[in-house]
Amino acid sequence: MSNTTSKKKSVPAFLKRPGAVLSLIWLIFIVGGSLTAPLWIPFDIGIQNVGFELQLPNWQFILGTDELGRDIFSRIMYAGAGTMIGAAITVLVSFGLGLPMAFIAAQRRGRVESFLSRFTEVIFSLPAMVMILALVGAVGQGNMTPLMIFFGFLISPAVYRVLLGQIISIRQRLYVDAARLNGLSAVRINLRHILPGIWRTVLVQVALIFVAGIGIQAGLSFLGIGPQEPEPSWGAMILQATNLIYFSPWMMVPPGLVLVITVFALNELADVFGEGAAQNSGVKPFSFKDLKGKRRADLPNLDSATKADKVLELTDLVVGVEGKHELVSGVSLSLNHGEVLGVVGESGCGKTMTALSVIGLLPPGVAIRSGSVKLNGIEIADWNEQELNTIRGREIAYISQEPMVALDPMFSVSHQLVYPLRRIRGMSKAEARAEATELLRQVGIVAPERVMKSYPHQLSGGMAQRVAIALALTGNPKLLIADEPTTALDVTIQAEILDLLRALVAERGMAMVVVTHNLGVVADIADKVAVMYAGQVIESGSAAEVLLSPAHPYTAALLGADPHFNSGEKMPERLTSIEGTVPAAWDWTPSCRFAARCEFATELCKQPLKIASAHSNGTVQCLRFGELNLSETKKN
Amino acid sequence: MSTTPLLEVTDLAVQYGSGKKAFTAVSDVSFTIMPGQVVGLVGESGSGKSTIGKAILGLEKVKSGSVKFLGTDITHDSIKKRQKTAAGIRVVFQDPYSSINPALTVGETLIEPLTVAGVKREVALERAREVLGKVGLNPEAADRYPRNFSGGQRQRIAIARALIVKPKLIVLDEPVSALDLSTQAQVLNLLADLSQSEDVGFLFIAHDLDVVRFLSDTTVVLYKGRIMEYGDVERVVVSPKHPYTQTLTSAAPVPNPHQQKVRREHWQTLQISNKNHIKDEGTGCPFVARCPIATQLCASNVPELRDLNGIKVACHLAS
Amino acid sequence: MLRFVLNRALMGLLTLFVAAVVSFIIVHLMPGSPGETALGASGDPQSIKAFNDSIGWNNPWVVQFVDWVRMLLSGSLGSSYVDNRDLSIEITTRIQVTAYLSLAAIVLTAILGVVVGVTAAVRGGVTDRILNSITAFFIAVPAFWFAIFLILVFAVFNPLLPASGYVEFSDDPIAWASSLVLPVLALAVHGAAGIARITRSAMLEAVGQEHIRTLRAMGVPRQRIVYLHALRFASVQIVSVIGLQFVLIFGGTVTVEQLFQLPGLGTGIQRAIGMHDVPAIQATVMVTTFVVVITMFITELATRFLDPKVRAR
Repeated sequence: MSNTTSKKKSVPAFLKRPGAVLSLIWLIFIVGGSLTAPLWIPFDIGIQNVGFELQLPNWQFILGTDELGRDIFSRIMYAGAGTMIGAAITVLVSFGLGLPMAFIAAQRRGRVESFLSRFTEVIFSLPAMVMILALVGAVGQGNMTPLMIFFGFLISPAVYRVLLGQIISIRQRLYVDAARLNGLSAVRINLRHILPGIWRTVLVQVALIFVAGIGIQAGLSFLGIGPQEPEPSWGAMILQATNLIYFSPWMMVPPGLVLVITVFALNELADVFGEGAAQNSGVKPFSFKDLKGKRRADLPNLDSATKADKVLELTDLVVGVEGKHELVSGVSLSLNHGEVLGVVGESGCGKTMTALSVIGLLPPGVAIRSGSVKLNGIEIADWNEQELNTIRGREIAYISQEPMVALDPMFSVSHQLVYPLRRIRGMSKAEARAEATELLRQVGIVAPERVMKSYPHQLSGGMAQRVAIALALTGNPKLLIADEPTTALDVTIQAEILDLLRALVAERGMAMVVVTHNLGVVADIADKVAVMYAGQVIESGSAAEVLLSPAHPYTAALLGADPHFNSGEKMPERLTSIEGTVPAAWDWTPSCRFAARCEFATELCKQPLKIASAHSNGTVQCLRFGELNLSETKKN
Repeated sequence: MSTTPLLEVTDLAVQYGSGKKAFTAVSDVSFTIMPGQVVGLVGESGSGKSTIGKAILGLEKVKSGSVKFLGTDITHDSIKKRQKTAAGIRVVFQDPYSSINPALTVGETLIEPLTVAGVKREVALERAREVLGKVGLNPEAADRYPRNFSGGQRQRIAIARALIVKPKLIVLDEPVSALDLSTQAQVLNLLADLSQSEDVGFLFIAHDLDVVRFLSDTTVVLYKGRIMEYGDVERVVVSPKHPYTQTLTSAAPVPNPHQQKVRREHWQTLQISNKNHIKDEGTGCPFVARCPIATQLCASNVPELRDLNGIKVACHLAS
Repeated sequence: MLRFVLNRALMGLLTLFVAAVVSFIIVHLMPGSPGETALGASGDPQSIKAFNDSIGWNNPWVVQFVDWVRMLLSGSLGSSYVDNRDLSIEITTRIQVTAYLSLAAIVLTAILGVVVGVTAAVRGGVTDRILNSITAFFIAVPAFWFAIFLILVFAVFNPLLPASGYVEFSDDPIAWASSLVLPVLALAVHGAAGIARITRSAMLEAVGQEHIRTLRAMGVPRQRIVYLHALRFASVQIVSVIGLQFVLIFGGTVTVEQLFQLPGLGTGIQRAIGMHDVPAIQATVMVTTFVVVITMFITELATRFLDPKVRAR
């Protein structure tokens, strides 16, 4: 919904993380410092300062000395070079093997991919450390290069696996198909269209494999098979410290700490790159924080409350992104028992946000700012998660746009239906089972026993939506919020689901809010309609009045843009075209938000908006209401 | 018009997978597009409509049948060979976000087909600006990145990318399904204008029969990979002969509550008669299980496409 | 299911075969010959040649390989060139030590990792940030270095536990247990940090799923959403990482075994390398690979059981 984060992108993301900046500085220091070490270290690595053995840090030996009086700082810096080069070799070999394999597998798929995947799986199953130790026997101690090459080979499956997934997902993007059709060669497609999409992942993997390379070297030299004396290595220095642990515990600190900080810094950078790679959608997912809240003792009880006329009443509801713009600006709506309200509009107009605020499921960072939400006459706008849980499922239920992901993939349909029946309706397990089967039958499922045993991935979209509706019905709610319930479905399935919803409303006397962008759905199922534009209800009234004689130019234009005509009517040459797009939420004004696109807009329209009554019992937000004749707009 | 057809698809069959897992996505599909004509391919998910588009573009392997472009058989031509044999076929995909590389400027995206063909960059960029104007965008859009554009504008960019090589045929794979109503109308109007002003034919793939009706001359109604009905779009929509087309038209809601009530009642009568259904044994009409008028004949024999007053219908019972 | 098992078995055999080939090639690249190793510097060329001939060292590699594989298939790991001891017995004793060590470590790793990861994800805020820093630190800390700290604290400064050495369980169960405490802790803390981070991100991914919205809309209590639905969703990822971690621990005990002087596979192979004991090296490689193959099989079986989508396949 909100893509506010995309607006400012001047500072590279990692500079905002102090840990990442420090890590980068450390890595520059340790890599640069160790590679140039012979040029500047205060003491040659072999120099034994007699009389200065086992010193603690001091001005002369900033990290102290070892049992031979050698400067630890100098030795650490000197040893760094070998470590860095060894790790770099591992990275080069693993990418040299893994990257081409991933590209080839992603391009060829089929047999080639399954062969390469199996090959890498076998390599990946070889015990790396033991294999390398065996190789030490062959190449001798202190000879690190062949070991690191071998390790690069053994770890290349990791590169292959991660990058293969990423490359395949990019290759599925249509712009790669477009490039193929343009006649671009495979190599150029990889360079131009795929590489830019995977470089962040590549960087993450480089950092992680570099870490593995450092780790294995430290391990090997700790075992005494790294660089041999007097040549230092971090692992061997730790080994040396172990032997002196009773005399100078300090000695283990410097080499270990340098190792830890270096690995930490690389991991931190991998983290930052990884976040960048994952950061492509602006919408924040829910987190556990959203589940918190304590129930107040004096919470009004909805069940015993006297039945109000209106099952739902929104007054001047304002919803906004915390510290930022509004997403819904002053919406007022009401709904009687058993009525169906259609909330219609284009995307980005706040219709889903309005619906979600009724059941308290606004996305993280989005909240009700002011206004009232009354359910059966009781104010619930300020209720927290735990308080809302007392009415969710019982008084009010919700069905969403994507039936395929609305059900928990890990549990059977039976499990998901039985639980709320037991919890809300207090049924025994057997009763709940019988009732669940009955509910499935009621929502038009022909073989309910079989569906009960199914898992969500075994259901078709239409079937999943029926199960989701059955789930919503388990608590006999008085109000059903349906957020684009048929958008993801085929048109014949949509008609079936609409039939079902209509029947349920009629049988159960349930009220329903249907959020949709489809005017036909409104005409089909809604008694009342609220047309939303840029966070406001610009027109409301009975469905017949609003759709047959729209009072707002936007409604009229929307009807004119709809290509769904009765077959008896002649199809026009052109559809009504509303120039431009819905303004972004941060550009919303107190004056008419449609004015810029409205063919009737005048200077008058720059004044603040007013809500006028229209139709028999509705509203319109247009300053020129009354002077416009919109019946013509609809026709052309 | 007695010219060579722009596109001639004959007995096309496409199969996914092989051996036991083989699944026939498209079978016995034949239709033609004349130069400048707009043919609408309509069906629900699983109807094979996008598969047909992909087969024509060479993105999907054809099992049998043929695809001829301007008289030349291109059925099994590789994409490389198609740069010569079918350079006049272009495509616009459904998803305007995934179809444009976010890392390239709009200009870079547009000129790709030209530079591959050896056109100089400057010349190509000049042409790109011209085409951007044609699709109703500011020519300066060439220097900007896709993230600065809305879905509708991106779809215009995708159309510009197709137009830049002066194609004879554009495969439009659900080009407006992902768009909002007002932007959808803009893009539909643009496409209608282009089909008038440019010398180009469209294969318009959509799931919405009314959208197809707006843009197309002829429509092909598909169900489970087979043609159900094929002919002049007005006649097919206004008086559908095939029970499936009837189901489809009565299922799509219209924004007029009174008309919709009538439509809904019609739909419901079709649904009720649907209850005495005949089992689909996979040997007959693919629609048999959902058909309101099916008989035992429909379950056992696949209906041929028959000509009924100029409309082709694959139904034993239609008249 | 049968197809899955057969498929896995085939892949496992293939892996063992590749391990056999690779280790065979490696040990045959070693300088010198078994005769020199067995008889030492004092051996005269004739007896060295005689020794080499007797074990078939001068046969073509293919023949030697086939002979060796045939021996493995007969259930024997062969005997050492150095002192002629039976490797099957030696490896069995050594693998016990490594197995105790890594099994105890993986159990601790899994419990610690999952608890910390879930806590970080569910609590969020300051708790999350603190736990995150701790896990980030321990991921960077190599087990052997952390082990030295443990020795310093629990053996040197406060002599509660032995700094090194191993006691057989049959000799003294309590001493046996205390000889394993520090090595297990050293291995577990490093691994747990990794599992904690994966668990945390898997839990956050789980709670962000669309179906959690449905559960909330039905008023399902928080505890149930967190510990039944989210944890169950995350479990597939968590279990496969635990499997991977076991492989890493099992193969990576070498440094810790060396530090604590435990007579496990790690010290075994080190000793074998030092003595150019070709059959011992090969035997260790094969046994370790076998453990990895089995671990991966069990892990996949577990994720299959957990994920209905994979189960149905």
